[in-house]
Amino acid sequence: MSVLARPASPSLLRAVSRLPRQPLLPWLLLSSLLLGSILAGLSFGAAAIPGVDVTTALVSGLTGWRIGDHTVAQELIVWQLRLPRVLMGGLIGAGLAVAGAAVQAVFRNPLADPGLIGVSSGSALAAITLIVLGDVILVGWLSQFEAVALPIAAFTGGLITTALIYRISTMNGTTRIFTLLLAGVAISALTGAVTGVLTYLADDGQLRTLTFWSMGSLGGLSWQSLWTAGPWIMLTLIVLPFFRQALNALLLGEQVAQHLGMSAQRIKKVVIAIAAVAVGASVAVAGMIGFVGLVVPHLMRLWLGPDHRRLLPACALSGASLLILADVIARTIAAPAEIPIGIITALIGSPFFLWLLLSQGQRGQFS
Amino acid sequence: MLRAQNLTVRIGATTLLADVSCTLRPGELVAVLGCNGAGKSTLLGAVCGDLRFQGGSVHLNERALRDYRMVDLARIRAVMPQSVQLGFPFQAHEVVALGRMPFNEPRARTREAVRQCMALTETAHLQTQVYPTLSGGEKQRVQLARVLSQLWPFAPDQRQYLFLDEATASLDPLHQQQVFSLARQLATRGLGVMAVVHDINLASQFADRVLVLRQGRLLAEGTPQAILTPELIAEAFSGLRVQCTPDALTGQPWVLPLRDQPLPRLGEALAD
Repeated sequence: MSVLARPASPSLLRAVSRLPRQPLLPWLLLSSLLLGSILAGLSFGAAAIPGVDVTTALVSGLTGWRIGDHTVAQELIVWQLRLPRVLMGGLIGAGLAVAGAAVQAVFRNPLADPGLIGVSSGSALAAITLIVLGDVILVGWLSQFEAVALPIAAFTGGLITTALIYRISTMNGTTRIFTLLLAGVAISALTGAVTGVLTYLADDGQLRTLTFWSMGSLGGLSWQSLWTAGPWIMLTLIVLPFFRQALNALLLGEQVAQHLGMSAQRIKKVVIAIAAVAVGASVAVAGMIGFVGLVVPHLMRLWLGPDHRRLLPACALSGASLLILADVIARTIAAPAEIPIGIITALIGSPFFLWLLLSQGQRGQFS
Repeated sequence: MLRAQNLTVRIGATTLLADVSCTLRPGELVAVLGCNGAGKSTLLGAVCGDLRFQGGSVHLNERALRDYRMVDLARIRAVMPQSVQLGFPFQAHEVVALGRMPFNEPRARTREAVRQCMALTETAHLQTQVYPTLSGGEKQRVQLARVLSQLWPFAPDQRQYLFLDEATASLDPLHQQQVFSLARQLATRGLGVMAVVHDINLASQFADRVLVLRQGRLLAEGTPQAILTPELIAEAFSGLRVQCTPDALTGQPWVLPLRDQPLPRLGEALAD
């Protein structure tokens, strides 16, 4: 809790202020990073495909023309396996990062995480419940729908958990952010405990499926998941930027936001709901992927400042790139096996986050 | 005109404000005095729409406060709260620019408002400084610039209102005088200004009228000359003993606290 309460250190901030804030350069860099990541995501994998062949395969598939000297198998890999995975992975990364930035503004804390609103733990619990107790719940003809039921259960489980936390912290029409935070911690602990019980009950096969949910993987993504979960994340990416100025105002406090003509309650409600939708949809198709929603907004804020007019698009671009690149590592480092992507993001994210805390702590406390 | 009638604010069983009526006309600077917990900030919160009141009514420009859309309200009244916590690394000019949020306007106009309001509050040199690194007084002046930018360009016929809740609390003496002198000039230009303040002399020098609150009730109201007497001040500030000397030029009272006050003594307190 003390970690959450500490503002960024003065010296770090001073260093940031010295960085020139050029208008165009960041966008050029971030767009090229995303393009490069997409290309890398399409060419690396169990079978490496050179960039030229990836490009011609993309064009051939799109237009039906037979150009370049890529093989039919390569075109199939690019179009059926990697493209949906890269696109959906990018969407998930963008959604998690943008939701993270917005949740940090609502909590008025740069170290808040979208997980605080309970959506990821709720989703995971619902999914795991279905995996372990599925035979009991889905009897008869219902059991045919297990593949469909899982993402739906995860999505609704996440939203229900967030709604519960929101209700607990809302009294007389006002949501208290501090209560929201504490309720989120409590509910997450509770769902964690129930998840633990279910893990204990699970058999070997179920345990393997469980790992997918608790550590995240882009391995199950297909065009179908892009069509079903993609729109929910797109919704977030489209709606949240409308709140860019409202989020800026909220950083000054709820009262000041009201003085500036914004309804703080409405902002909190919509932002929490929208963030829950994005995170819930991500967990439903790719499991829990940590640290993207925490580290990416933080990093972009250090680089471009806290103004959400710049922060939200920057988070979308860099969050997408980061997750696509993490996925490339996840499926090449131990090829042909795949490492859960949550492990990769946590392996990169945690040391980085600790470094951030340490550099703030040292310079912040003694300067 | 701002007209508050019989305002009553309760939180739980505690009555914070009881049956207080007051007015604020455009062109007028009204100071609100009272000891800690007298209900000054509650009064301010109720008349600018922050707090729900259980009894009474507030009308701003002949329209009930609750009938306003929030953004319309933001265009005619600005509020400087007692404290603003901001831990995010905004540059000072970005903070000031947030005051222009209620207006859909070209960026050049926002920049002009920011430039002028930062000049008014002597914060122009802090423009590119990162807000959390500023000193307490500097932060307060940047916030004041933000609040002022909301009412910029202070057109005389706009019937706008400015509420200051201890806007001078962490300022040095020069900047305290400056802020009130600025408030005075804005009032002369046509703004209605209501300022909660602890320094009785600032109120006495600059205010047209003074409201004195005690235990959630309006104790006295009037010009500084008429009401700022040792008797009233003793009543308002739990027995504070002062000496009031009229200014040779303006006749406004200079209020000087005496050394000997009805205070708990260290020896007696420790003996218990």
